[in-house]
Amino acid sequence: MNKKIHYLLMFALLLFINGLMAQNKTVTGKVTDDSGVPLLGVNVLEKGTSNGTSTDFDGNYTINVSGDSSSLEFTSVGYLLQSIVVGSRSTVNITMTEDAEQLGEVVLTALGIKRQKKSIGYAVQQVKAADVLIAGPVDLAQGLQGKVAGLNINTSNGTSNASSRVVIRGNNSLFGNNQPLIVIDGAIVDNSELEQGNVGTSTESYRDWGNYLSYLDMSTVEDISVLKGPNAAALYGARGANGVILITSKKGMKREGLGIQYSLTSNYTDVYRFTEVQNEFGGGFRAGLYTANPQLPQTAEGQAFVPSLYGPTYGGSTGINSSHGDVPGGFYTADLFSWFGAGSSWGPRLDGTPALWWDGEVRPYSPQPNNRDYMYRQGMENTHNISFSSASDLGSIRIGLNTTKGDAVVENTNHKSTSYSLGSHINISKVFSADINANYNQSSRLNAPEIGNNNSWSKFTIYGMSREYRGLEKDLYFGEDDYDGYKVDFGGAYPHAEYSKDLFWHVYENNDRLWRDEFLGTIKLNAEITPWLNAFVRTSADVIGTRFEKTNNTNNLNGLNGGRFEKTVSKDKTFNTDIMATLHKDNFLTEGFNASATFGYNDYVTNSAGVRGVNGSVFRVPDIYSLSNYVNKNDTDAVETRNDIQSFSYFGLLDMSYNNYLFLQVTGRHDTNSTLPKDNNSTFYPSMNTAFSFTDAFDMGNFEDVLSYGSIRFAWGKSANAAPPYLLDAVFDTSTFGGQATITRPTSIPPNDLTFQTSESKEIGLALGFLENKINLDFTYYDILSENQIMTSTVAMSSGAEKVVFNSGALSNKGIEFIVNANIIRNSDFSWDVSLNGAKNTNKVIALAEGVEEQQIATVFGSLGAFMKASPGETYGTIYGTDFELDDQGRKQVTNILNKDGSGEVIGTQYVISSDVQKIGNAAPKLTGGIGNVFRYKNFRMSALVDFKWGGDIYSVDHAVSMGSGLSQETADARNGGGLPYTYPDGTTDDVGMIMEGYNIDDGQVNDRVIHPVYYYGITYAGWSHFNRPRSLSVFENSWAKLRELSISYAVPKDVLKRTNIFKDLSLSLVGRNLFYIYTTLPDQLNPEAINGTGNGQGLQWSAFPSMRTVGFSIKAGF
Amino acid sequence: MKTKINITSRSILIVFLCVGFMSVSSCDDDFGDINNNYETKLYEATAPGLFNDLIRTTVKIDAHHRIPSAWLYQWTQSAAMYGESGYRLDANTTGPWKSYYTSLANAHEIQKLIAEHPEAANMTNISEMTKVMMAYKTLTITLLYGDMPYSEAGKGFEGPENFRPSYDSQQSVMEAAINDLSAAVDNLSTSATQVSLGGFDTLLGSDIPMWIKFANSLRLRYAMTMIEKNASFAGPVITAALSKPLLTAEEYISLDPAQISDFEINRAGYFRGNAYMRMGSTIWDAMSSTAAVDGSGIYDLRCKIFFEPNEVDEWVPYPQNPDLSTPTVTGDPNQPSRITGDWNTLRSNFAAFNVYYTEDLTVPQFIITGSQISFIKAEIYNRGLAGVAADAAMAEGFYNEGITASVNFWYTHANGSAIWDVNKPATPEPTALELTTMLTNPNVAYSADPAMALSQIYKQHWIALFHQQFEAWNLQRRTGNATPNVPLTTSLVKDFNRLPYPNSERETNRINWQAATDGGNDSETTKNWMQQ
Repeated sequence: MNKKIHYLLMFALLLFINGLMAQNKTVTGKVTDDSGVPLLGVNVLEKGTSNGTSTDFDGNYTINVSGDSSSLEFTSVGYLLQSIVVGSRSTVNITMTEDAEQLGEVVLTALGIKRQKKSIGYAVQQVKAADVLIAGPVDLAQGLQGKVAGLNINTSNGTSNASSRVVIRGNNSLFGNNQPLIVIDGAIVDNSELEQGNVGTSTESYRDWGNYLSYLDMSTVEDISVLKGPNAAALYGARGANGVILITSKKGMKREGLGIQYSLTSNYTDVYRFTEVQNEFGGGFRAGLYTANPQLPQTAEGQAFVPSLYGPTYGGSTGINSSHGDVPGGFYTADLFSWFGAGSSWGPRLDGTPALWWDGEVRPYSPQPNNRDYMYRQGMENTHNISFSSASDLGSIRIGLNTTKGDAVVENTNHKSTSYSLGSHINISKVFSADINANYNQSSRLNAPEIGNNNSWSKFTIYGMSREYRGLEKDLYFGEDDYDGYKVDFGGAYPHAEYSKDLFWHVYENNDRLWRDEFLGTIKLNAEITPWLNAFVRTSADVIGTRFEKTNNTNNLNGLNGGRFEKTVSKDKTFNTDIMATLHKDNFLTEGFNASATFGYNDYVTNSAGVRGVNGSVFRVPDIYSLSNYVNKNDTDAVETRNDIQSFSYFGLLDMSYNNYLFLQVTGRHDTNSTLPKDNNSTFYPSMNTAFSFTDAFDMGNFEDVLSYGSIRFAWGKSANAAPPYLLDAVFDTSTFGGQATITRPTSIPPNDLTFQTSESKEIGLALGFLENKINLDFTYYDILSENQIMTSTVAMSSGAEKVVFNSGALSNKGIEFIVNANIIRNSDFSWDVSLNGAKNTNKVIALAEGVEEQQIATVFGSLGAFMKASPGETYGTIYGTDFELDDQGRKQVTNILNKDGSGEVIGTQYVISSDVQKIGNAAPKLTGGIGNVFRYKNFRMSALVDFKWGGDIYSVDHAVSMGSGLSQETADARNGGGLPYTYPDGTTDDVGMIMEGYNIDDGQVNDRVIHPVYYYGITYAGWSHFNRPRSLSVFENSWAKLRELSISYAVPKDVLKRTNIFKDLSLSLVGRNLFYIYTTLPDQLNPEAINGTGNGQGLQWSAFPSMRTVGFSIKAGF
Repeated sequence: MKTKINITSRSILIVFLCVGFMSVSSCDDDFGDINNNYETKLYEATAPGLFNDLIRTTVKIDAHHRIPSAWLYQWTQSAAMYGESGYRLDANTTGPWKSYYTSLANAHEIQKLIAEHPEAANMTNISEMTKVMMAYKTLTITLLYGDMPYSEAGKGFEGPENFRPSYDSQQSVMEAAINDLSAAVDNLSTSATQVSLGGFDTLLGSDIPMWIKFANSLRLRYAMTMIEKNASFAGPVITAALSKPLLTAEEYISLDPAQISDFEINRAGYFRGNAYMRMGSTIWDAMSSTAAVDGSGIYDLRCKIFFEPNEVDEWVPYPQNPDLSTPTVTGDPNQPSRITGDWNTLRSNFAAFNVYYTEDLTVPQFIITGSQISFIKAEIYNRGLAGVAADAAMAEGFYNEGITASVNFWYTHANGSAIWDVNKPATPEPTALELTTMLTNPNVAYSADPAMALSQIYKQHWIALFHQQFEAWNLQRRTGNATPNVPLTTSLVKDFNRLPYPNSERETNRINWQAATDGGNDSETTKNWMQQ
């Protein structure tokens, strides 16, 4: 906007003030809640008359009264009625007390404005921090799980403090960030994962260093308000399209005694639920194909030994000495069974035979049912929190200190965090007041477990660990030298190949450390200029400094070779400033018609800069981890990252209400953003919402005994989202060669005519209260269309590029949400409250870029495994893979595997599989939600939360591997007899034969070929295969219900405490989190919540950690 | 009724006006250069920079090295594998493909820049040099994969209609590329009016006569590659090539660390880790007249450069077809510690790749050698191809010339290498006696029997391509496996005829990919078009 207009606006403001009209005897005042926060929309009525008004967004009101004897009544939904005689005062300030029976009826909305819930025409749900934190969650996101309808929170596969994916009402963006905006006291923060991980991008291999909410000091949070969809977010502009989570910090309040609160929370986490495996057969693959009683191979001296993945291991050995190799019929294993891992357990029976182990010792070849526990320990986390709180006429203050120290369930992994917080409200003068919030947080983490790759225990347990594995490496991997040790080579007899030969060295000797410092501060200056005009300026800063170091120990005797040092230093700054002025007029034009108009300006700046130095060279000096400790400069590198965005906006709100039952809000926002072309970088978007409380408007008569409250609401809104920075230009990449510059096309085709991506949202909602509001029901239907989506799609590499960024995609989200709250019993000694919330969202892809037919969202092992892609017209979340090629009668087709010697001997069968991929599932759930129960008996309180997911498929690589490599119990059962008679190549027989169900196209009849279980499972299932396989066999509906939280607390009675003369309050709690699954549809105890990362590929599961549960206790004391 | 603004209101106004002015100052809808790229990128490309990138991307990386060590050495029998590498072929087919098509897009950009330039007529040489580089790259890629997107490819930046290019037949791709080479031979000009790339030609330093030899030698090589399949096209090309300047036996076109600044070629990692190779029995039989483990039968002067004896200094090859009597392989000889530390540690019980050969960062990456041209000429004169009459004497001359050039190169290189120490060749070139002894060894001496002589040509051509495994594979495939080999019965690599297309083609170019693969039958066992 041009500067002249700006001056004009300021001048107009001046004129309005000049036009101030004198009033008769007037009473003014301010209405605040317990903690000093101003309350909007409190009804102020001169008792016995119809003369009334309501408070503005700063809690101020002005009313003309008839005289000193007048009484004022202050009412607001959710608060107890207050009645005050005016007397001789002209200022009456009131503190409202929350009515416990009507909690949650006043909610925080966009830009921090508190409003009566019934006046809002769109869905917003507020949760008290106390309810979020009741069961000691690791972070705020995990505490919110199951508590807000339509807020889907998935914690990714990993340790307990893994990142959480937070999505409101489905995906607005195909490939991009779908997480909502997070606003803390007006400060805008970014919930992206820390860049040290690759959590959002890879399903095959990643590390999780957490995202913003993993680091937030939860002890400072007062409540959380979830604004769903673009309607609610229309005023946050650019980044609000995915919805907004508003977090309000605690402020000081007047307390009895010293005002000091202390709490201690101790949590203990254990792994408890591993995928089921068999414990009868050991490592190997081929041996079982030759004979009914396969034996371990033997050395030339006749000593049985454990075979390896790729032999040979002992010269002159006899027997089948490796998993890969030739099989009957002249095939190499990979020809038929592809690249199974060292975990394959089709080997001999674990019968206790003395066997030579890879370290030279002889041990019994016997079951090791607990071998996957080897790298886990009990995780522990202790949190101490102390705060001081006080309030007076001058204002209020809260000072907090919080420290957390935790050890993960995985060894050599821990975290620490300390934070200092300030929350204050200062009454500067009659007119000015200020809110100041500040938080300094210092965190560090040692290591984050690797997931999915060869250094990851979770991959090893599924892909590399055969069932006789004993876990010997921890004591053997490290060799003593003059420096800090060298890596011991486990030798050629090591049976688990690359899957664990470096794992232990990596876990203990290659250490990554993260230090993160954050300052988050907000200053808000409020001014009550006239009784009908007020304004504020709020500015916030979020400054995060990160230091990340990777120190890989040298692995050689000389202390110089094989080491590595990387150091990344980065700083992220976000500044956000809002200026707002509100004009307010009650009984405007006509009695009962209230109106207010708000004008505002927002300025947003974020910039990040980082530098990463890499020293991958042989070191010059042993044992020093430094960027300068290199021999060969060519093995060093430096990388710079930067991210700068600025925007500014003008916005306005017009609020109207009639007789407190009909409400209308109209908003508009004009954004200008730095990341778009200079001639096309601004946009305007409006929204409106209306609410009609029909039970207030009409006399419901006797019906009111049943239906106490009813309101219908409707909203429509648009919002716009700008592009990421640096997308504008068709730039060329450069490099050097031979001392000269080189220039090349980039890998990505840039978008044409980049513009804002927009969302248009419609929603309708109904809120009903029955039986004096003992049962409340809220229902919402929404329809969101997101257009001009900035997306990235892959194109054929033969086009000269790998991907194209485009600005023309469209997605739609339609869905419902419902919330039911019921006070089933409530009396002075006992109460029982139940809450239920649920949501269903359908997400469709409407359009992609011209020339792009489909868009891959995520893959696991490329198209040879399974992958997710989106095509126009399809529901988002479709899982694809190769599958059975059915004949025209819908039968599975089977084909014979013939001996390569040309004899025509049938050695096995296999299914005919499609060469192209087919739809094999869809990850979108049918319903998600939670059910909470709170029981209160005298001073005891018990709460339990069950959250659930109904529907939504996963393709489980873990299942495919487990079946294909003989790990699952089903494969052992098949080997234990009970099948059809089967004759082995050596003439031995056993009742292990199986028949593939289907039509044999070679035999021309329903298939009746009897085959060995290795052919049945080993060919049909495979996790990582270069062959097409029927992937649908490992696709499962993943529905589950879980006891997410259970807490029992006891508050020591006040009269007991009084006698101590120390405590003002004291409570003790026992908490449990993630305790157990009540219901799950996955077979073999597969982990239902082990999707890798927080990206959009939520239907592909690989390398799962076992489930983990946490129990703990907390003590809270007030002094 | 109006009232005066009181002092409080005034102060409020001042505060808000101040804030308002502050915000006005940031109200610049231009935002300056905040959104400009900050990395080392350019908004406009230039032909010299794009051209130098064509050279840069000719450097072999990753899959180019992995494919030989995990598959090709075993398949061409230039070495023997004793263990499955465990690498997936389909995980190694993307790199060369991606690099090629990026180059193709860059080449299109060079031609566009030249066409739009007012002095386009003086830029013929740059245009032709670009075509020569692209012809080399195209022919390399089509010989790896077979049919490939070509005429519609590399144009994605020009519009969405080019996002999924269709496949051209390998024959048409080869013919088009060879025609480009022929045109370059004719059009490259030493005229002073031609704009020179100067130092941006990091391959040949803008030496136009050398570019002509380069282009002409390439077309000879590739015409020979398709002579069995399409003699009517290849014959005239060969005839024309023989009439134009070709690389002399001692010349070669390469990316040479000795010539290019800040450049080294590190292949070392591909010979250790999951690379399970030793000197194989086939090449041993082609370099030694006896099986004597003391090396007394070795007549090939390159044997001790390519390989080193086992831990007890014996020349024990690993059998191409091992059986249960074959001892377990020991040692890990291709480790840098044998150069920086004790050379004797980690040696194997089998003869292995010479650790100096694998660790040497200065061995040039050959694009085409004069020695290969000599062997091709020898083959032409032996067989009497493309209108050239068979002439045993000429053939023998080129044959000996090819061997001599190859031996001399490796002697000179090993002798001059800074890291080479144990068993280093004593002189920059073999003595005349040594060379004569080799050339007159009954196994080497050019046979009077033309068929036997032809197999000798193939054998020596194959040995000379030891450092160019893709070329050795081309020779093996185009001659119908006439290079030295034993039937592989227990080989870990089988039926290795081409690279499957990268998985991404199936995902992003499915319809065309299906058409090119007979409905999705995309296998390494499918024969390349030029194979016999």
